[in-house]
Amino acid sequence: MKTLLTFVAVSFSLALFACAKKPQPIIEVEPPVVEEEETAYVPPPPPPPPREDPLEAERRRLEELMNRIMSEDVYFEFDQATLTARARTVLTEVSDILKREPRFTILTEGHTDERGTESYNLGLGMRRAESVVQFLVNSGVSSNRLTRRSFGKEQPKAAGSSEEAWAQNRRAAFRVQITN
Amino acid sequence: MKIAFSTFLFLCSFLYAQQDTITMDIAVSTERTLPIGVINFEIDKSDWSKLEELPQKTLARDFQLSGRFSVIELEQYNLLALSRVQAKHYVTGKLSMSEGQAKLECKLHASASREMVKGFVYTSPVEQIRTSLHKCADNVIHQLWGVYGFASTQMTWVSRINGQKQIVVADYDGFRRRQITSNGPNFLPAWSPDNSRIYFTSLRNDKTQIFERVLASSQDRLLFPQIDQTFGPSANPRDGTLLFSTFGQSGTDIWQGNPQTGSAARLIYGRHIDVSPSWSPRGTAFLFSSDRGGQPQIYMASRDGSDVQRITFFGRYNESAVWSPDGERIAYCSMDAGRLNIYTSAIDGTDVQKLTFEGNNERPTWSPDGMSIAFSSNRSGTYQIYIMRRDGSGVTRITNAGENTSPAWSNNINIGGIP
Repeated sequence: MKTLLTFVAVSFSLALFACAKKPQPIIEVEPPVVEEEETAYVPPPPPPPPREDPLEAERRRLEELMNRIMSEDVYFEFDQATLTARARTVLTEVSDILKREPRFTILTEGHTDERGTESYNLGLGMRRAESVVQFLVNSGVSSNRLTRRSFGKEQPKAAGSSEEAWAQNRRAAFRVQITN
Repeated sequence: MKIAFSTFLFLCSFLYAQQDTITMDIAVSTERTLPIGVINFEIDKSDWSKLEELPQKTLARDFQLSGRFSVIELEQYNLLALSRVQAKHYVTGKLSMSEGQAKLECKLHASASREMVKGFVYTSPVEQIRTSLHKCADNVIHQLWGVYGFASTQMTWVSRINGQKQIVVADYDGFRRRQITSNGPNFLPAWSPDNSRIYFTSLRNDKTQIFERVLASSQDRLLFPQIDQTFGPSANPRDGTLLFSTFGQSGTDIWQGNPQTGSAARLIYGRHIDVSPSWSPRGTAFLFSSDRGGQPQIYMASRDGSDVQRITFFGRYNESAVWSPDGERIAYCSMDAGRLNIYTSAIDGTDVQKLTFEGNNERPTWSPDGMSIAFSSNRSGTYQIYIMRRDGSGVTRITNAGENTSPAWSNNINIGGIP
């Protein structure tokens, strides 16, 4: 998770850096629509310090949203790729954010627990990623913002061979990027 | 002399053909082994320190692992001990070293008469003594069985090195292991037909991609870059084309591609998981796993992907099938009660035999002569590589430390003569 966060932080600051360098990026910084929805979405926004850089504020707002998506893993039953009720709730929330933030693109990673073979688990991980992507598409997110990968059982989140660890590892996780 | 030699060759090939047809009977007679004695080699004591292992140990292991012998190790000639186990032959010899060069004399004797049946002499750098010993073992096997063994073959597998899965290559007995990848994680390795390169799957770019490593080089080459994600290659033993899996629109598909030209085409597809392609020994058909029936089972298809037939019907999770070199049987993994075990069955799915019973046992791979199967197992607490006879007997661990998985046995390039 930590590496994910670092990844986001890095990728976002890179994006920001790229923005700042370009001749006319200032126009994109604060689209009023986004501003409005932000208040509707994020509960009590901290009163901005008097002379905060508007770029900085936007950066923080987006980062919070991205972190929120990336902390929302979706869990599955053994050898299954069907979405549970809990998974649907999580995905509805993710879908809402995506619809509000058209610059977000999402990479969905499918994972499995350690049981079974490496090859079949790669297939199963992809099927899980596919279930998630399908749900987001059906809820109105454009499919060209959504990519899928499978890591099979190669990148467990929890170590160990207990039922608890397995349940943590049968998951789909998100990585968020911002396109300009 | 020339005529005598060609007559010898002719007789050899005849003998070879004959033996080939007899192999079936040996299989039926539940793996009868030939007793053989291995007697300590003559070595100057001052040379011991230069050796990783005494020659008789290497040789005895080769005979044991060949699946063809039961070995009696003796310090010196002892007819009583040899007769007790009905060993009609024994092997011994002499190893001498000077100036970094080693001379290995290896002799096969008849037990009763002590007459030498055949002798072999090898000169090599000291570091290559194991190569000479493996050649000696293969020559003895050829002398007594009329077929070539696998003592000179290699194995590739996945070792966890500094926490990351890497591809390694070693002698088939696990010695002289060398790491061939450094960028990782890498997994699911496979040999090219001429053993000159390894194909493997890597997550180094944060997605599954097949790479090629020519063993004589130090560069990895990404294969089929036009396809987003690829994994699990198997090389056609005749023409070298690869079968592999990709993620399609609605399932995991099997493609065939030419690693030289980079062209690739889809063979097996649909809304299922189709993985673990594995070519038949003559490259005219392949096995794969599919969950089209609800759970993963083993299927067979013609080389163009047509004529798909289901092979396994017992068990609810059958995967990683590999075809035996004689084309008669398959070895595969089956999961029961959450654990994977190695099974074999006839190519039509009948005559199912369970070969392993402890821990998880995965990724079977046949020895080039079909006598043995290597696999990885966590029966000792960690994953290590093992070799067993094709009936499940004689299980021997060939790795000791760390985590070792996914073995793939090299092809036998000795067929036709041992250098």
